[in-house]
Amino acid sequence: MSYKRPVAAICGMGKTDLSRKPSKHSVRELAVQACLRAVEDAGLKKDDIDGLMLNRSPLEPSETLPMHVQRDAGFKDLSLLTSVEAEGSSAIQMIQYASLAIQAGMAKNVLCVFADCPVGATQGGGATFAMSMELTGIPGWEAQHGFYGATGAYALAAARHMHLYGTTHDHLYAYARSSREWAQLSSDAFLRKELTRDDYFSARWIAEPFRMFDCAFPVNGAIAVVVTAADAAKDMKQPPVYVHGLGQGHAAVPNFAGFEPEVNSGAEIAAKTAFKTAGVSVPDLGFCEVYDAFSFSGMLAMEDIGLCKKGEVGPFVAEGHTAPGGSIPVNTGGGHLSGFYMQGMTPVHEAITQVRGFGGDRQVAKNDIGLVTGSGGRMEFHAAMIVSPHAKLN
Amino acid sequence: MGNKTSRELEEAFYQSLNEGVVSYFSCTDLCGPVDYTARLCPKCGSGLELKAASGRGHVHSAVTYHTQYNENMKTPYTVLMVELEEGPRLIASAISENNSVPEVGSEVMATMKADSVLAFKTVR
Ligand SMILES: [Zn+2]
Repeated sequence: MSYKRPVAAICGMGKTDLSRKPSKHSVRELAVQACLRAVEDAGLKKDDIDGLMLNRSPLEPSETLPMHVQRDAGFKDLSLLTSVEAEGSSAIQMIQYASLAIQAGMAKNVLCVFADCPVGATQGGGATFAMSMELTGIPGWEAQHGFYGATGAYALAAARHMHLYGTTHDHLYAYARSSREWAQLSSDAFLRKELTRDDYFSARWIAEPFRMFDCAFPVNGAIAVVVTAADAAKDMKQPPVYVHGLGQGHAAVPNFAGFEPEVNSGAEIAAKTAFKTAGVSVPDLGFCEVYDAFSFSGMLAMEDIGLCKKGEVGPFVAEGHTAPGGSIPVNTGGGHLSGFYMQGMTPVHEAITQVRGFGGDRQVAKNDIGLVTGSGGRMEFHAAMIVSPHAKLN
Repeated sequence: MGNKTSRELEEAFYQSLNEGVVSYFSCTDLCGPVDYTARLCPKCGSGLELKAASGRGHVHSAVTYHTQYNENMKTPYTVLMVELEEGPRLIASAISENNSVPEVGSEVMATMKADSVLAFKTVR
């Protein structure tokens, strides 16, 4: 694939209030609010928007976030309108399709929005992960055995990694701790109290090997970004966030003897493609924002990106490389575990914040090149993106 | 032969369990066993047929649920992903003996719980 580089730029970002309380507003209304805030943040007018891409939680029906969001928000005469349904890889995928559409002349300013309300009056959002997850495709099979949710699927994967590579509960704690240390510095994060060893190990089991602090912190809200042409972004209201690399990777590793879908994901392909389009590599990275609905999913992403060798992520995290002051800051807003869970938009939001230099106490020293990832399914659907404040990388 | 619908394959799978046999899907041509998610052979596109598995395998991975997602499942309980010796992997229940369930990597044998629910126990 050949892109003009930079591929595009992100010129606006809008976020509703994120909340743990049941939302007075529908998902649809939150999406509109985030879109309008993103337009204002970019210094654009509503009429400047000519593309809109929507992404809802894979657990919600399509009417939750219909294409009528366009009318609700008052965006007239769009030349691009669609919904992307690639689960946790959707946020980056939307930015990728928006970038390609802009390069092809299909649109100029494309809004990409995610909205979700997993926290209801009777449940704290854990149900986000409670759907029965079909691994065999045989109706009712997984439910019959009590195999529920992404939690179970990722717990199985973590247990496999532990078996193959000697990854330990202490390593999972080290990951959760690193995220929390960043969250303690972030005004955007929800969980900001120190996460001691005792706090981590005394918290209840969810699905072994995961304890409570291995799991994402769901919130209600919406986040939208505006994608525009790279050369249009330099004189706009906000510092430009140039998109230099984009890639997807969907490996479809079978559940069959000789294959290890639990520990080899398409994130490797996605990251390689993103690196290649940007013309950079792992040592060039100043920071990483990875999709980590569970501690283990973030850890696996780090291996597949190539921050460390396969099987070595446990010791890598335990040595403090990813925490504040470490060699490669990862999930500088606390990620999904300690920051907030807005699926693929959480890492995108944090990367934009860092590239703009708006990180405050958590601002990384080297924001020149950052890698962002998204993933969905059972380690199945991956996307990656390279961002920078610079129009030229080398 | 060879052109069973998805539904027929799935029903035959449950039917074999009612008869005490764990089965897997296999290519009606020469490709052998396939992943449980397949409904056509992923290699050659032929139809699939059911074959009886030996019931022997090993634990590929395991998860122990402590959160109650279903009121009929008393927590904690362990769910296994078992790799049959024929190759395919599937989710199944675990038989606890002497307060321990099969560990990841251990050899296991299929057994039926009540209502023809497939479970595996450690081979000693
Ligand atoms: Zn075949």
